[in-house]
Amino acid sequence: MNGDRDLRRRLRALRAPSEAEAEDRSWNVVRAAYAERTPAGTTRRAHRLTLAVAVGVALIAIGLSPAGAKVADLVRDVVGVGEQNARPQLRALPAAGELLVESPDGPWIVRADGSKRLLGQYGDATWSPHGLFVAAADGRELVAVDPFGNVRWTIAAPARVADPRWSPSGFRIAYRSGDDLRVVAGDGTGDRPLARGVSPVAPAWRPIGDSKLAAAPGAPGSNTLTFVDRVDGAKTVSTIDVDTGAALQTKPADLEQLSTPPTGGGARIAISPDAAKTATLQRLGRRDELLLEREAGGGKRVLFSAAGRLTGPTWSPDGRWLLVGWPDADQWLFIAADRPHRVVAFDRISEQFDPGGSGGGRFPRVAGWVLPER
Amino acid sequence: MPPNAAPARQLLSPMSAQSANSLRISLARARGRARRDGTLVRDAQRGSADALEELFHRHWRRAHRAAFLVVGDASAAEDIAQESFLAAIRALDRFDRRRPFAPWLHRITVNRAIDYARARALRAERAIAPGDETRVVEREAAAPGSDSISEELIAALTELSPDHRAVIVLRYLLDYTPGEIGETLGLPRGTVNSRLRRGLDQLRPAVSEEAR
Repeated sequence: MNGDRDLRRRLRALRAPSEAEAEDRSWNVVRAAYAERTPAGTTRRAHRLTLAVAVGVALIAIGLSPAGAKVADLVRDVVGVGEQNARPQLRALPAAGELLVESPDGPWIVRADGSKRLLGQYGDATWSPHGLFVAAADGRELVAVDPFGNVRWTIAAPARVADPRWSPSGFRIAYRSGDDLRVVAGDGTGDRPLARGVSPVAPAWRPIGDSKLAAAPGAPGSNTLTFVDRVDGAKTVSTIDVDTGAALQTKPADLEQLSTPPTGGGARIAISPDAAKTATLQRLGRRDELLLEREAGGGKRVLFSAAGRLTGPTWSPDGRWLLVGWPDADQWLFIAADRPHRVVAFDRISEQFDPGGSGGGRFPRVAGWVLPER
Repeated sequence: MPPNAAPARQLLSPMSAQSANSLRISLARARGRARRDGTLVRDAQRGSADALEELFHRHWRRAHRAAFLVVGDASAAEDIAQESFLAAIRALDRFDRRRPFAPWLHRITVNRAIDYARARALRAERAIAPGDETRVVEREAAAPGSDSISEELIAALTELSPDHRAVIVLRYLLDYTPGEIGETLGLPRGTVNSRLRRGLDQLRPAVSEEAR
Protein backbone atom coordinates (compact mmCIF):
# COMPACT_ATOMS: atom_id res chain seq x y z
CA MET A 1 0.00 0.00 0.00
CA ASN A 2 1.43 3.36 -1.06
CA GLY A 3 0.23 5.15 2.09
CA ASP A 4 2.12 2.66 4.25
CA ARG A 5 5.28 3.01 2.21
CA ASP A 6 5.12 6.79 2.16
CA LEU A 7 4.54 7.01 5.88
CA ARG A 8 7.40 4.64 6.59
CA ARG A 9 9.70 6.65 4.34
CA ARG A 10 8.63 9.97 5.89
CA LEU A 11 9.03 8.78 9.45
CA ARG A 12 12.47 7.40 8.78
CA ALA A 13 13.54 10.66 7.19
CA LEU A 14 12.59 12.63 10.31
CA ARG A 15 15.28 13.97 12.57
CA ALA A 16 14.68 15.20 16.10
CA PRO A 17 16.11 18.68 16.80
CA SER A 18 19.74 18.66 18.00
CA GLU A 19 19.91 14.93 17.80
CA ALA A 20 23.70 14.64 17.77
CA GLU A 21 24.16 16.90 20.78
CA ALA A 22 21.46 15.03 22.65
CA GLU A 23 23.22 11.76 21.88
CA ASP A 24 26.50 13.12 23.21
CA ARG A 25 24.90 14.34 26.42
CA SER A 26 23.11 11.07 27.00
CA TRP A 27 26.19 9.02 26.30
CA ASN A 28 28.08 10.93 28.99
CA VAL A 29 25.41 10.12 31.55
CA VAL A 30 25.07 6.49 30.47
CA ARG A 31 28.84 6.01 30.47
CA ALA A 32 29.07 7.41 34.00
CA ALA A 33 26.27 5.15 35.18
CA TYR A 34 28.01 2.17 33.61
CA ALA A 35 31.32 3.10 35.22
CA GLU A 36 29.68 3.02 38.62
CA ARG A 37 27.98 -0.34 38.29
CA THR A 38 29.48 -3.47 39.78
CA PRO A 39 29.85 -6.11 37.06
CA ALA A 40 28.01 -9.39 37.55
CA GLY A 41 29.97 -12.30 38.85
CA THR A 42 32.05 -10.24 41.20
CA THR A 43 32.69 -12.49 44.14
CA ARG A 44 32.55 -11.50 47.75
CA ARG A 45 36.26 -12.10 47.92
CA ALA A 46 36.79 -9.73 45.02
CA HIS A 47 34.63 -7.19 46.80
CA ARG A 48 36.81 -7.47 49.86
CA LEU A 49 39.94 -7.13 47.77
CA THR A 50 38.55 -4.06 46.02
CA LEU A 51 37.56 -2.58 49.34
CA ALA A 52 41.01 -3.20 50.76
CA VAL A 53 42.63 -1.56 47.74
CA ALA A 54 40.19 1.36 47.89
CA VAL A 55 40.91 1.88 51.58
CA GLY A 56 44.63 1.75 50.88
CA VAL A 57 44.29 4.27 48.06
CA ALA A 58 42.11 6.46 50.25
CA LEU A 59 44.66 6.35 53.05
CA ILE A 60 47.42 7.39 50.68
CA ALA A 61 45.16 10.04 49.15
CA ILE A 62 44.34 11.43 52.56
CA GLY A 63 47.99 11.85 53.28
CA LEU A 64 48.84 13.39 49.92
CA SER A 65 45.90 15.30 48.50
CA PRO A 66 44.72 18.74 49.60
CA ALA A 67 41.25 17.33 50.25
CA GLY A 68 42.80 14.57 52.29
CA ALA A 69 44.86 17.05 54.18
CA LYS A 70 41.66 18.81 55.12
CA VAL A 71 40.17 15.61 56.39
CA ALA A 72 43.29 15.07 58.43
CA ASP A 73 42.86 18.60 59.80
CA LEU A 74 39.30 17.82 60.61
CA VAL A 75 40.26 14.68 62.46
CA ARG A 76 42.84 16.57 64.46
CA ASP A 77 40.60 19.52 65.12
CA VAL A 78 37.53 17.70 66.08
CA VAL A 79 37.83 14.07 66.90
CA GLY A 80 41.44 13.08 67.35
CA VAL A 81 43.98 11.50 65.07
CA GLY A 82 43.56 8.63 62.64
CA GLU A 83 39.84 8.27 62.68
CA GLN A 84 38.55 9.08 59.22
CA ASN A 85 39.05 8.21 55.58
CA ALA A 86 37.38 10.07 52.79
CA ARG A 87 35.98 7.43 50.47
CA PRO A 88 36.69 8.15 46.84
CA GLN A 89 33.26 7.06 45.62
CA LEU A 90 29.86 7.58 47.15
CA ARG A 91 28.93 4.27 48.75
CA ALA A 92 26.24 3.13 51.13
CA LEU A 93 24.74 5.92 53.20
CA PRO A 94 25.20 5.51 56.94
CA ALA A 95 21.44 5.57 57.55
CA ALA A 96 18.37 4.33 55.74
CA GLY A 97 16.60 6.60 53.28
CA GLU A 98 17.22 8.35 49.99
CA LEU A 99 18.82 11.69 49.25
CA LEU A 100 17.55 14.25 46.79
CA VAL A 101 20.49 16.17 45.37
CA GLU A 102 20.45 19.16 43.05
CA SER A 103 23.25 19.31 40.50
CA PRO A 104 23.91 21.40 37.39
CA ASP A 105 22.41 18.56 35.32
CA GLY A 106 19.26 18.32 37.41
CA PRO A 107 18.09 16.49 40.52
CA TRP A 108 19.51 13.10 41.44
CA ILE A 109 18.20 10.53 43.83
CA VAL A 110 20.83 8.71 45.86
CA ARG A 111 19.65 5.43 47.26
CA ALA A 112 20.80 3.93 50.55
CA ASP A 113 23.29 1.72 48.73
CA GLY A 114 24.90 4.77 47.13
CA SER A 115 23.51 4.19 43.63
CA LYS A 116 22.27 7.33 41.89
CA ARG A 117 19.65 8.26 39.35
CA LEU A 118 19.31 11.51 37.42
CA LEU A 119 15.64 12.43 37.30
CA GLY A 120 15.82 14.78 34.33
CA GLN A 121 16.67 18.32 33.46
CA TYR A 122 14.73 20.00 36.22
CA GLY A 123 15.65 22.60 38.79
CA ASP A 124 14.72 23.39 42.39
CA ALA A 125 13.64 19.90 43.41
CA THR A 126 11.77 19.05 46.61
CA TRP A 127 10.81 15.68 48.12
CA SER A 128 7.27 14.84 49.02
CA PRO A 129 7.34 14.07 52.76
CA HIS A 130 7.08 10.31 52.26
CA GLY A 131 9.55 10.18 49.41
CA LEU A 132 6.98 9.02 46.88
CA PHE A 133 7.42 11.96 44.53
CA VAL A 134 9.69 14.84 43.69
CA ALA A 135 8.34 18.22 42.62
CA ALA A 136 10.64 20.34 40.49
CA ALA A 137 10.72 23.39 38.25
CA ASP A 138 10.93 23.05 34.49
CA GLY A 139 10.80 26.54 33.04
CA ARG A 140 7.17 27.63 33.35
CA GLU A 141 6.07 24.22 34.52
CA LEU A 142 5.84 22.61 37.92
CA VAL A 143 6.50 18.90 37.48
CA ALA A 144 5.91 15.96 39.80
CA VAL A 145 7.93 12.87 39.03
CA ASP A 146 8.25 9.58 40.82
CA PRO A 147 11.69 8.44 42.03
CA PHE A 148 12.19 6.54 38.78
CA GLY A 149 11.87 9.71 36.73
CA ASN A 150 8.36 9.04 35.42
CA VAL A 151 6.33 12.22 35.16
CA ARG A 152 3.16 11.96 37.23
CA TRP A 153 1.74 15.36 36.50
CA THR A 154 2.73 18.79 35.34
CA ILE A 155 1.03 22.14 35.55
CA ALA A 156 1.76 25.24 33.57
CA ALA A 157 2.32 28.40 35.61
CA PRO A 158 1.93 31.97 34.40
CA ALA A 159 5.66 32.65 34.73
CA ARG A 160 8.90 30.83 35.46
CA VAL A 161 8.61 28.40 38.37
CA ALA A 162 11.06 28.53 41.27
CA ASP A 163 11.49 27.19 44.80
CA PRO A 164 8.75 24.58 45.02
CA ARG A 165 8.37 23.30 48.57
CA TRP A 166 6.25 20.27 49.45
CA SER A 167 4.37 20.70 52.73
CA PRO A 168 5.13 18.31 55.61
CA SER A 169 1.51 17.12 55.42
CA GLY A 170 2.06 16.11 51.80
CA PHE A 171 -1.13 17.79 50.65
CA ARG A 172 0.24 21.08 49.34
CA ILE A 173 3.12 22.39 47.27
CA ALA A 174 3.99 26.07 47.47
CA TYR A 175 6.07 27.62 44.73
CA ARG A 176 7.00 30.93 43.23
CA SER A 177 5.98 31.83 39.70
CA GLY A 178 7.58 35.09 38.66
CA ASP A 179 6.65 37.51 41.45
CA ASP A 180 3.69 35.44 42.60
CA LEU A 181 3.51 32.86 45.35
CA ARG A 182 1.19 30.00 44.41
CA VAL A 183 -0.01 26.75 45.94
CA VAL A 184 -1.23 23.53 44.37
CA ALA A 185 -2.50 20.29 45.84
CA GLY A 186 -0.10 17.36 45.97
CA ASP A 187 -1.94 15.67 43.09
CA GLY A 188 -1.46 18.67 40.83
CA THR A 189 -5.01 20.01 41.15
CA GLY A 190 -6.33 23.29 42.48
CA ASP A 191 -3.43 25.50 41.50
CA ARG A 192 -4.05 29.06 42.74
CA PRO A 193 -2.23 32.23 43.71
CA LEU A 194 -1.53 32.91 47.39
CA ALA A 195 0.21 36.27 47.21
CA ARG A 196 1.43 38.65 44.57
CA GLY A 197 4.66 40.61 44.46
CA VAL A 198 6.67 38.40 46.82
CA SER A 199 10.44 38.53 47.23
CA PRO A 200 12.60 35.95 45.45
CA VAL A 201 13.00 33.84 48.58
CA ALA A 202 11.91 30.22 48.92
CA PRO A 203 8.78 29.92 51.05
CA ALA A 204 9.03 27.69 54.13
CA TRP A 205 6.45 25.34 55.60
CA ARG A 206 6.06 25.18 59.35
CA PRO A 207 7.42 21.77 60.42
CA ILE A 208 5.05 19.26 61.93
CA GLY A 209 5.73 18.30 65.50
CA ASP A 210 7.75 21.31 66.59
CA SER A 211 6.38 22.23 69.97
CA LYS A 212 7.85 25.72 69.71
CA LEU A 213 5.39 26.31 66.91
CA ALA A 214 2.35 24.33 68.03
CA ALA A 215 -0.62 26.66 68.28
CA ALA A 216 -3.98 26.62 66.55
CA PRO A 217 -4.53 27.57 63.79
CA GLY A 218 -1.23 26.59 62.26
CA ALA A 219 -0.97 23.66 64.65
CA PRO A 220 0.96 20.56 63.66
CA GLY A 221 -0.72 18.91 60.70
CA SER A 222 -1.99 22.10 59.20
CA ASN A 223 -0.47 23.75 56.16
CA THR A 224 1.20 26.87 57.45
CA LEU A 225 3.52 28.78 55.21
CA THR A 226 6.00 31.57 55.84
CA PHE A 227 7.22 33.75 53.00
CA VAL A 228 8.87 37.08 52.35
CA ASP A 229 6.36 39.58 51.09
CA ARG A 230 6.88 43.06 49.72
CA VAL A 231 4.61 45.67 51.17
CA ASP A 232 5.06 49.20 49.77
CA GLY A 233 8.49 48.18 48.54
CA ALA A 234 9.64 46.94 51.96
CA LYS A 235 10.31 43.31 52.73
CA THR A 236 7.92 41.83 55.24
CA VAL A 237 7.66 38.29 56.52
CA SER A 238 4.15 36.84 56.45
CA THR A 239 2.79 33.57 57.75
CA ILE A 240 -0.54 32.18 56.65
CA ASP A 241 -2.65 29.07 56.90
CA VAL A 242 -2.87 28.30 53.19
CA ASP A 243 -6.15 26.39 53.51
CA THR A 244 -8.10 29.08 55.32
CA GLY A 245 -6.10 32.08 54.19
CA ALA A 246 -5.87 33.22 57.81
CA ALA A 247 -2.88 35.42 58.59
CA LEU A 248 -0.89 34.02 61.52
CA GLN A 249 1.74 35.45 63.76
CA THR A 250 5.25 34.79 62.48
CA LYS A 251 7.36 33.19 65.17
CA PRO A 252 11.14 33.29 65.45
CA ALA A 253 11.30 29.61 64.52
CA ASP A 254 9.34 30.38 61.34
CA LEU A 255 12.00 32.88 60.40
CA GLU A 256 14.69 30.27 60.97
CA GLN A 257 13.12 28.10 58.30
CA LEU A 258 13.54 30.72 55.59
CA SER A 259 16.58 30.37 53.39
CA THR A 260 17.20 34.12 53.33
CA PRO A 261 15.07 35.96 55.83
CA PRO A 262 15.19 39.78 55.68
CA THR A 263 17.02 39.72 59.00
CA GLY A 264 19.95 37.81 57.48
CA GLY A 265 21.27 34.29 58.06
CA GLY A 266 18.89 31.49 57.18
CA ALA A 267 19.14 28.08 55.51
CA ARG A 268 21.67 27.02 58.08
CA ILE A 269 19.27 25.41 60.49
CA ALA A 270 17.73 21.96 60.37
CA ILE A 271 15.25 20.53 62.84
CA SER A 272 15.48 16.77 63.39
CA PRO A 273 12.53 14.64 62.20
CA ASP A 274 11.34 14.15 65.79
CA ALA A 275 11.77 17.89 66.39
CA ALA A 276 13.88 17.12 69.47
CA LYS A 277 17.14 18.49 68.08
CA THR A 278 18.20 21.48 66.05
CA ALA A 279 21.39 21.56 64.01
CA THR A 280 22.84 24.94 63.10
CA LEU A 281 25.76 26.04 61.00
CA GLN A 282 27.50 29.05 62.44
CA ARG A 283 30.24 31.18 60.92
CA LEU A 284 33.19 31.84 63.17
CA GLY A 285 35.93 33.83 61.48
CA ARG A 286 37.06 31.71 58.56
CA ARG A 287 35.58 28.54 59.95
CA ASP A 288 32.13 27.06 60.04
CA GLU A 289 30.86 25.25 63.09
CA LEU A 290 28.09 22.69 63.24
CA LEU A 291 26.17 23.11 66.48
CA LEU A 292 23.62 20.80 68.02
CA GLU A 293 20.92 21.92 70.41
CA ARG A 294 18.49 19.62 72.14
CA GLU A 295 15.00 20.74 72.93
CA ALA A 296 15.34 19.16 76.35
CA GLY A 297 18.01 21.74 77.18
CA GLY A 298 21.71 21.58 77.81
CA GLY A 299 22.74 24.40 75.52
CA LYS A 300 24.45 24.22 72.17
CA ARG A 301 27.28 21.79 71.58
CA VAL A 302 29.84 22.00 68.79
CA LEU A 303 29.71 18.81 66.75
CA PHE A 304 32.16 19.76 64.10
CA SER A 305 34.36 22.60 62.94
CA ALA A 306 36.02 23.08 59.59
CA ALA A 307 38.02 25.64 57.67
CA GLY A 308 35.91 27.27 54.97
CA ARG A 309 32.22 27.00 54.34
CA LEU A 310 29.93 24.13 55.15
CA THR A 311 26.55 23.63 53.49
CA GLY A 312 23.35 22.05 54.73
CA PRO A 313 22.85 20.63 57.31
CA THR A 314 20.42 17.78 56.51
CA TRP A 315 19.10 15.24 59.00
CA SER A 316 18.83 11.54 58.26
CA PRO A 317 15.25 10.23 58.55
CA ASP A 318 16.10 8.43 61.79
CA GLY A 319 17.51 11.64 63.27
CA ARG A 320 20.86 10.04 64.08
CA TRP A 321 23.07 11.45 61.33
CA LEU A 322 23.71 14.89 59.90
CA LEU A 323 24.90 15.44 56.37
CA VAL A 324 26.91 18.58 55.69
CA GLY A 325 28.65 19.56 52.47
CA TRP A 326 32.19 20.89 52.46
CA PRO A 327 32.65 22.56 49.07
CA ASP A 328 36.28 23.58 49.68
CA ALA A 329 37.21 19.94 50.20
CA ASP A 330 34.66 18.74 47.63
CA GLN A 331 33.33 16.36 50.24
CA TRP A 332 30.19 15.27 51.98
CA LEU A 333 30.45 14.49 55.66
CA PHE A 334 27.99 12.31 57.51
CA ILE A 335 28.30 13.07 61.20
CA ALA A 336 26.69 10.97 63.92
CA ALA A 337 24.72 13.44 66.06
CA ASP A 338 25.17 11.49 69.27
CA ARG A 339 28.73 10.36 68.58
CA PRO A 340 30.40 13.16 66.62
CA HIS A 341 33.69 11.27 66.50
CA ARG A 342 31.95 9.10 63.91
CA VAL A 343 32.36 10.90 60.58
CA VAL A 344 31.86 9.19 57.24
CA ALA A 345 33.41 11.29 54.47
CA PHE A 346 32.98 10.97 50.72
CA ASP A 347 35.31 12.65 48.29
CA ARG A 348 34.97 14.09 44.73
CA ILE A 349 31.35 14.97 45.20
CA SER A 350 31.10 17.58 42.40
CA GLU A 351 32.47 15.15 39.83
CA GLN A 352 30.14 12.38 40.92
CA PHE A 353 27.10 14.54 40.27
CA ASP A 354 28.38 16.01 37.03
CA PRO A 355 29.32 12.97 34.97
CA GLY A 356 29.38 14.89 31.69
CA GLY A 357 31.61 17.56 33.17
CA SER A 358 29.25 20.26 31.93
CA GLY A 359 28.40 21.79 35.28
CA GLY A 360 31.73 23.54 35.81
CA GLY A 361 32.38 21.58 38.97
CA ARG A 362 29.59 23.26 40.91
CA PHE A 363 29.05 21.68 44.31
CA PRO A 364 25.70 19.89 44.48
CA ARG A 365 23.05 20.88 47.01
CA VAL A 366 21.29 18.32 49.19
CA ALA A 367 17.58 19.06 48.93
CA GLY A 368 16.37 16.41 51.36
CA TRP A 369 16.80 12.99 52.94
CA VAL A 370 13.68 10.90 53.37
CA LEU A 371 12.74 7.33 54.12
CA PRO A 372 10.48 6.41 51.21
CA GLU A 373 7.23 4.69 52.12
CA ARG A 374 7.09 2.45 49.07
CA MET B 1 58.78 22.68 11.52
CA PRO B 2 58.05 19.53 9.54
CA PRO B 3 56.60 20.19 6.09
CA ASN B 4 53.36 18.45 6.90
CA ALA B 5 52.72 20.44 10.08
CA ALA B 6 49.94 22.59 8.63
CA PRO B 7 47.80 19.72 7.34
CA ALA B 8 48.26 18.03 10.70
CA ARG B 9 46.88 21.11 12.45
CA GLN B 10 43.94 21.12 10.10
CA LEU B 11 43.27 17.54 10.93
CA LEU B 12 43.39 18.39 14.60
CA SER B 13 41.13 21.41 14.28
CA PRO B 14 38.05 21.30 16.47
CA MET B 15 35.35 19.10 15.05
CA SER B 16 31.73 20.03 15.48
CA ALA B 17 29.76 17.85 17.87
CA GLN B 18 27.65 16.63 14.98
CA SER B 19 30.54 15.63 12.71
CA ALA B 20 32.48 14.04 15.57
CA ASN B 21 29.41 12.13 16.51
CA SER B 22 28.72 11.04 12.93
CA LEU B 23 32.29 9.82 12.61
CA ARG B 24 32.06 7.90 15.83
CA ILE B 25 28.76 6.36 14.80
CA SER B 26 30.12 5.38 11.38
CA LEU B 27 33.12 3.74 13.00
CA ALA B 28 30.91 2.01 15.51
CA ARG B 29 28.63 0.80 12.73
CA ALA B 30 31.52 -0.44 10.63
CA ARG B 31 32.85 -2.41 13.59
CA GLY B 32 29.40 -3.37 14.78
CA ARG B 33 28.27 -5.16 11.65
CA ALA B 34 30.42 -8.06 12.66
CA ARG B 35 29.28 -7.96 16.27
CA ARG B 36 25.76 -8.85 17.18
CA ASP B 37 23.81 -7.21 19.97
CA GLY B 38 24.02 -10.37 22.07
CA THR B 39 27.81 -10.31 21.85
CA LEU B 40 27.91 -6.65 22.81
CA VAL B 41 25.58 -7.23 25.74
CA ARG B 42 27.77 -10.12 26.90
CA ASP B 43 30.91 -8.00 26.66
CA ALA B 44 29.21 -5.08 28.41
CA GLN B 45 28.12 -7.43 31.18
CA ARG B 46 31.77 -8.38 31.58
CA GLY B 47 32.79 -4.76 31.92
CA SER B 48 33.63 -3.66 28.37
CA ALA B 49 32.86 0.03 28.05
CA ASP B 50 33.62 -0.20 24.32
CA ALA B 51 30.90 -2.77 23.86
CA LEU B 52 28.46 -0.59 25.73
CA GLU B 53 29.40 2.40 23.61
CA GLU B 54 28.78 0.46 20.46
CA LEU B 55 25.46 -0.78 21.74
CA PHE B 56 24.48 2.74 22.79
CA HIS B 57 25.30 4.38 19.47
CA ARG B 58 23.69 1.56 17.55
CA HIS B 59 20.36 2.01 19.28
CA TRP B 60 20.16 5.49 20.71
CA ARG B 61 18.95 7.41 17.66
CA ARG B 62 16.03 5.13 16.93
CA ALA B 63 15.00 5.16 20.58
CA HIS B 64 15.31 8.94 20.69
CA ARG B 65 13.32 9.44 17.48
CA ALA B 66 10.63 7.05 18.64
CA ALA B 67 10.31 8.98 21.90
CA PHE B 68 10.35 12.29 20.02
CA LEU B 69 7.55 11.23 17.71
CA VAL B 70 5.41 10.08 20.64
CA VAL B 71 5.96 13.08 22.94
CA GLY B 72 6.64 15.81 20.34
CA ASP B 73 9.24 17.41 22.58
CA ALA B 74 12.96 17.02 21.89
CA SER B 75 14.13 17.59 25.49
CA ALA B 76 11.62 15.15 26.89
CA ALA B 77 12.58 12.63 24.22
CA GLU B 78 16.22 12.98 25.21
CA ASP B 79 15.35 12.34 28.86
CA ILE B 80 13.20 9.37 27.96
CA ALA B 81 15.82 7.76 25.73
CA GLN B 82 18.51 8.42 28.32
CA GLU B 83 16.41 6.97 31.12
CA SER B 84 15.71 3.92 29.00
CA PHE B 85 19.42 3.31 28.58
CA LEU B 86 20.02 3.89 32.28
CA ALA B 87 17.32 1.31 32.98
CA ALA B 88 19.14 -1.01 30.59
CA ILE B 89 22.40 -0.49 32.49
CA ARG B 90 20.73 -1.22 35.78
CA ALA B 91 19.23 -4.44 34.41
CA LEU B 92 22.26 -5.38 32.35
CA ASP B 93 23.41 -8.21 34.58
CA ARG B 94 19.98 -9.79 34.58
CA PHE B 95 19.47 -9.46 30.85
CA ASP B 96 18.97 -12.73 29.00
CA ARG B 97 21.34 -12.54 26.03
CA ARG B 98 19.28 -15.03 24.03
CA ARG B 99 16.58 -12.39 23.74
CA PRO B 100 16.94 -9.48 21.31
CA PHE B 101 18.07 -6.22 22.87
CA ALA B 102 16.25 -3.72 20.64
CA PRO B 103 12.63 -4.78 21.37
CA TRP B 104 13.39 -4.71 25.07
CA LEU B 105 14.82 -1.20 24.84
CA HIS B 106 11.97 -0.01 22.60
CA ARG B 107 9.39 -1.39 25.00
CA ILE B 108 10.84 0.70 27.83
CA THR B 109 11.25 3.77 25.65
CA VAL B 110 7.82 3.78 24.06
CA ASN B 111 5.97 3.01 27.27
CA ARG B 112 7.81 5.80 29.05
CA ALA B 113 7.04 8.15 26.19
CA ILE B 114 3.34 7.27 26.39
CA ASP B 115 3.34 7.93 30.14
CA TYR B 116 5.01 11.25 29.59
CA ALA B 117 2.65 12.29 26.80
CA ARG B 118 -0.40 11.31 28.86
CA ALA B 119 0.84 13.34 31.80
CA ARG B 120 1.36 16.31 29.50
CA ALA B 121 -2.14 15.94 28.15
CA LEU B 122 -3.53 15.95 31.69
CA ARG B 123 -1.48 19.02 32.44
CA ALA B 124 -2.83 20.83 29.40
CA GLU B 125 -6.38 20.24 30.64
CA ARG B 126 -5.52 21.93 33.91
CA ALA B 127 -3.37 24.63 32.39
CA ILE B 128 -3.76 28.07 33.85
CA ALA B 129 -3.43 29.73 30.50
CA PRO B 130 -5.07 27.20 28.18
CA GLY B 131 -3.22 26.64 24.95
CA ASP B 132 0.07 28.17 26.01
CA GLU B 133 1.88 24.97 26.73
CA THR B 134 0.49 22.91 23.86
CA ARG B 135 1.80 25.58 21.53
CA VAL B 136 5.24 25.15 23.06
CA VAL B 137 5.29 21.57 21.82
CA GLU B 138 4.25 22.60 18.34
CA ARG B 139 6.80 25.37 18.16
CA GLU B 140 9.55 23.11 19.37
CA ALA B 141 8.69 20.47 16.83
CA ALA B 142 8.95 23.04 14.08
CA ALA B 143 12.00 24.80 15.47
CA PRO B 144 14.48 26.28 13.04
CA GLY B 145 17.55 24.13 12.71
CA SER B 146 15.63 20.90 12.62
CA ASP B 147 15.99 21.02 8.86
CA SER B 148 14.70 17.58 8.08
CA ILE B 149 11.60 17.92 10.16
CA SER B 150 8.38 17.53 8.32
CA GLU B 151 6.12 20.08 9.93
CA GLU B 152 2.93 18.75 8.39
CA LEU B 153 3.61 15.22 9.45
CA ILE B 154 4.60 16.25 12.98
CA ALA B 155 1.49 18.40 13.24
CA ALA B 156 -0.68 15.52 12.05
CA LEU B 157 0.98 13.17 14.54
CA THR B 158 0.36 15.67 17.34
CA GLU B 159 -3.36 15.43 16.59
CA LEU B 160 -3.31 11.73 17.45
CA SER B 161 -3.51 10.48 21.02
CA PRO B 162 -0.21 9.28 22.57
CA ASP B 163 -1.43 5.68 22.35
CA HIS B 164 -2.13 6.00 18.63
CA ARG B 165 1.18 7.74 18.03
CA ALA B 166 3.00 4.94 19.81
CA VAL B 167 1.39 2.28 17.63
CA ILE B 168 2.26 4.23 14.46
CA VAL B 169 5.85 4.72 15.60
CA LEU B 170 6.32 1.08 16.52
CA ARG B 171 4.90 -0.06 13.18
CA TYR B 172 6.34 2.43 10.71
CA LEU B 173 9.53 3.68 12.36
CA LEU B 174 10.64 0.61 14.27
CA ASP B 175 9.10 -2.02 11.97
CA TYR B 176 7.33 -4.20 14.46
CA THR B 177 4.44 -6.43 13.45
CA PRO B 178 0.99 -5.81 14.96
CA GLY B 179 1.48 -8.90 17.12
CA GLU B 180 4.80 -7.62 18.46
CA ILE B 181 3.29 -4.19 19.07
CA GLY B 182 0.48 -5.79 21.04
CA GLU B 183 3.05 -7.57 23.17
CA THR B 184 5.09 -4.40 23.69
CA LEU B 185 2.14 -2.27 24.73
CA GLY B 186 0.06 -4.98 26.39
CA LEU B 187 -2.77 -4.63 23.87
CA PRO B 188 -4.87 -7.15 21.95
CA ARG B 189 -3.86 -7.46 18.33
CA GLY B 190 -7.27 -6.22 17.19
CA THR B 191 -6.79 -3.01 19.13
CA VAL B 192 -3.38 -2.51 17.56
CA ASN B 193 -4.85 -2.98 14.08
CA SER B 194 -7.72 -0.58 14.69
CA ARG B 195 -5.33 2.03 16.07
CA LEU B 196 -3.08 1.59 13.07
CA ARG B 197 -6.02 2.05 10.71
CA ARG B 198 -7.29 5.10 12.49
CA GLY B 199 -3.81 6.59 12.72
CA LEU B 200 -3.14 6.02 9.07
CA ASP B 201 -6.45 7.60 8.12
CA GLN B 202 -5.61 10.72 10.08
CA LEU B 203 -2.07 10.93 8.78
CA ARG B 204 -2.90 10.22 5.17
CA PRO B 205 -3.58 13.84 4.15
CA ALA B 206 -0.23 14.97 5.57
CA VAL B 207 1.65 12.10 3.96
CA SER B 208 0.06 12.54 0.56
CA GLU B 209 0.55 16.31 0.75
CA GLU B 210 4.26 15.75 1.24
CA ALA B 211 4.47 13.06 -1.38
CA ARG B 212 3.15 15.50 -3.96
